[in-house]
Formats: sequence, structure tokens, C-alpha cells
Amino acid sequence: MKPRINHPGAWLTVCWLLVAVVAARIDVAERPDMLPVDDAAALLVHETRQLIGRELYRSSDIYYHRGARPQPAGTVREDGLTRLSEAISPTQHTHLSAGEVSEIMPWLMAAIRIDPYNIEAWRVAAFWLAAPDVGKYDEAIALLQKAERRHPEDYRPRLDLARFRLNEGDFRNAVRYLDRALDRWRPDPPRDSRRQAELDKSELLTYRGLCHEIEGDLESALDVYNQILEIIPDAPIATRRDALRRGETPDLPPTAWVQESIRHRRKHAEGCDHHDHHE
Amino acid sequence: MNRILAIAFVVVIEMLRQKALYVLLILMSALLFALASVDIFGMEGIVRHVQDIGMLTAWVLSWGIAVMVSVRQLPRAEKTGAVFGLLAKPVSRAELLLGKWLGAWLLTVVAALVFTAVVVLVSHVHDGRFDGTALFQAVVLHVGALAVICAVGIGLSTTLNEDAAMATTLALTIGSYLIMPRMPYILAELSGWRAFPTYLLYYLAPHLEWFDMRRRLVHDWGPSPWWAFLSVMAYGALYTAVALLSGWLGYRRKRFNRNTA
Repeated sequence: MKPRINHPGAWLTVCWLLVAVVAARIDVAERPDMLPVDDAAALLVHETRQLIGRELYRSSDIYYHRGARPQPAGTVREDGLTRLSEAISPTQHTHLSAGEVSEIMPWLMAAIRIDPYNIEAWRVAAFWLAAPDVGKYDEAIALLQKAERRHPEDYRPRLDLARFRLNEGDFRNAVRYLDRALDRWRPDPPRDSRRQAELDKSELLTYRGLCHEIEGDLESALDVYNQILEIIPDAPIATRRDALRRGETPDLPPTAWVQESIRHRRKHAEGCDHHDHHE
Repeated sequence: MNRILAIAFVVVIEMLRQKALYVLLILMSALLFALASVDIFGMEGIVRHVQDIGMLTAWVLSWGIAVMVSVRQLPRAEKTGAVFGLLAKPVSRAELLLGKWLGAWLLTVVAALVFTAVVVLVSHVHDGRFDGTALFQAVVLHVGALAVICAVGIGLSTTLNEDAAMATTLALTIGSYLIMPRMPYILAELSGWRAFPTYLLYYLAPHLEWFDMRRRLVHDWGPSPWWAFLSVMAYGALYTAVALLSGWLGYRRKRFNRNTA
């Protein structure tokens, strides 16, 4: 006769042990820097979280495009069947209207919760929270501050926080974030292209130079502008540097340049480079 | 016709006695209410994700019910010996097949309608509205998809046992739902003899993605053109008829062995 465990306490103990083991795995998997390389279970949980997190993040993009998924690259065979499919389920994409953009937030927040190491989810969520039609400006800043704590070595949340402070005209705190971001700047090839990292650095330096100008330190501003032109030789800041070198007053005062730059950047980020917009 | 309806009625009553349907309904309602009550920075009127997940859940659950209910009807009737009693009466095999399909379909339609009603209710409570015409089209197309799935399940179960029929129906329907939308891209790359089997698959496998109007419904694209809606319905009716006819061709001369009962 087989031995049987009938006591409820025994089963409770077994369940408790299982939950404790799984919870420990999940806790470890939340912190990839602590992952033991020989712990296959922790690695598996971590990979799974990343996979689900990425899918949730992708869902937010699909929602932003009103349900249109990115189409595979290459040509498509056009016939009556594809036209029928298109009529039932539209694939041409458009963007959510300004009042609807909060619909992407549940997916972004879920992505952050599942995979807090996806820095882009934090940044995109903060970007849209601060959108005029969503109007959750303070919440966006709080979210980026959380991201800053979660990603102590990443320059990107600090760049975003600096933009927010510059937009408010709080140049003292903006400089603090800009300096922290510049200290931490490094190209991050696995997640981002080197080109994007360089563009980010030139943006950081532009703001930093403009802050020097606001502080009246033109020499430091010129130094910083020269650094930008080493990265991007045809950057628009060249005309400003040349005017300052000649001792002239540039067309736009530094505060206006900051505002214009942030507005331009926001407009650029709200758009996308897809070719099949549906008006 | 009366005999078909009587068989269908028995299938529905038998399945309604199962507790699984009610458990699924309660689980789905709990999931949706929990999802809708999540606070996202105090923002109000965010309901599209609830509608989307709700409609997806309604689809997946009714799809699963359609497969499970349809593939079990004939094999279980054979296994329990009930088929001998039925066929001893003046019931033809075609009537038995149609009755079982109709019963399975009606039951899944009832389940799908209840699931959809829960989604509409939860959405309504949270100020989410569906376009009426688009919702009607989406529900009718979903009902059409369930007819196809039940027909495929019944058709396969005439020649396969319950487990094999279930696995094959799930693989065929889920596989085609996921792969068919990609096929036009694959076909554009192929030419010559290599294209032939792919074309064959493209035209013969069920295009269940045509029955899925969730994107239109949830993302507020409005109703689909009526020509497209009616074309898909006609396609569904034709596919159902062909699947049932194929099943009947395999079933009409099938020999039943009392020893396996």
C-alpha cells in the first residue's frame, strides 16, 4: 500500500515551500545584476519577464497606432483575399488623437512592472504622462525619479529629467541633472544605436552650453559647443558658436533656444517615420 | 429536421449541466472587473485595454469550448454505445452528424454571447462604448467562426479519436489563425513549383482571421464594409458545409465495434 499524505498541514507546508522558492526566484530575477550565472531557474524567470515586458511595451506602440501592428518588411501579394482581410481588419495605421493617448498607459505601466529594467518603457510613459492632453506632469517627474533610482548608471532618465526642469525654467536643477547625465553617458549598443547615444550626448551638451550662457559663462559655453561640433560637425549650434565667437548676440536668447529645442524634440518624438498614415 | 434539432437539444442540455462553463464565466468576470478597477495615475476613461482583453478572452474561451465540445460528441457516443441506440431509431448518420454539430455550435454561441455580454457590461460600467454596428458585425462574425471550428472538430472526430481530433483541430485552427495573415508576404517571395504547396495551404486552410473584428471594434475604426462582412459570412457558411460534408463522407460507411464500447 502506498503511503499517503492526508494531513492538511503537510500540504500547506509543501505549498508554502513552493511559494517561497518561486518568490525568491522572482525577486532575484528582478535584479539582473544579482543573477547567479549557474542558477538556471533564476535566469529563466528573468528571461521570461523580459520577454513579457517587451511584448507589453510593444502593445503600447500598437495601441498608439490604433491597433495596427508593424507590417513585415518586403512586398505583399495583393489579391482579393488580402483586400478582404484589409477591409475586416485595417492595417494602415494612424495615431491616437490627443485626447485618447492615455489608452497606452496601462500597457506601459504593466511593462514597467513586469520588466523594470526596460528603460524605454519608463521614458515613454513619462513622456506621454507629461503630454498636455494627459496633464500628469508631476506624475511624469515622479516616474522618472523612480527610473533614476532603478537605473543608477543610465544617463537617459537624467536627460529626461533635465528636459523637464529646463521646460519649467528651473535651470539650477536642470544643470544638476545634465551634469549627472553627462557623467554617466556611454554608448549602449545592445539597446540603442551608437548614433542615438551620440545624438543624446549632443543634446545634453547643447543644454549644458545654453545653461552656461544663462549663467553668463560664455567661455565654458564655447568649449561645450566645440565638443558638440566634434560629434556632429553640421549641428545647428555652429551658427550660435560663431556668433558668440565674433562677440555678437545670437538671434535667439539661450532660454528661447532651450524652449524651441524642447518643443522641436517633443514634436519629433510624437511623430513617426511610417509611410502609410491613414488620415 | 426535427430529429436534428432533438439531437442538438440533447447536446446543449448535456453540456449546460457541466460546471466548467460557469466556472469560466466567473473567472472571466473576475478578471475583467479586476482589470477595470486598476488605478492608473487617477486617469479616468481608460477602457480600451479592458475591452481588448475582454474580447480576446471571450474569443479564446469560446474557441476552446467549441473545440472541446465538438470533438467529443461522436467518439463518446461510440465509446458509450449511445450511437447504436441513436442509429437504431430512424436517424441517418447525416442527421446525427448535423445534430451534433448544431448542438455544439449552439452551445458555444450561447457561451460566446454571454462572454461578450460580460465584456460589454464591464466596458459600459467604466464609460466605454462600442460602436453598435461594429459590435453586431463582430459578434455575428465570431458566431460564424465558431460554426467553422465546430464543423472542423466534428468532421475530424468522424475518423479520429477524441484526443487526436482535439489536437488536430486546435493545431489547424490556431495555426491558420496565426499564420494566414503572414501568408501574402510569404507568397510574394515564392515562385514556380515551390509556391504551389503554399498556395494550396493558403486557399484550403480556414481563414479564421477574417472573422476577427476586434481591432475595428476596440480601436474604434467603425463597422467594416458590408460587402466584406457578407463575403466572410458566405465563406464561413461554405467552409462549414465543406467540413461537414467531408466528415459525413468519412462517417457514412464507418463500422462501429461494440467491443470498444
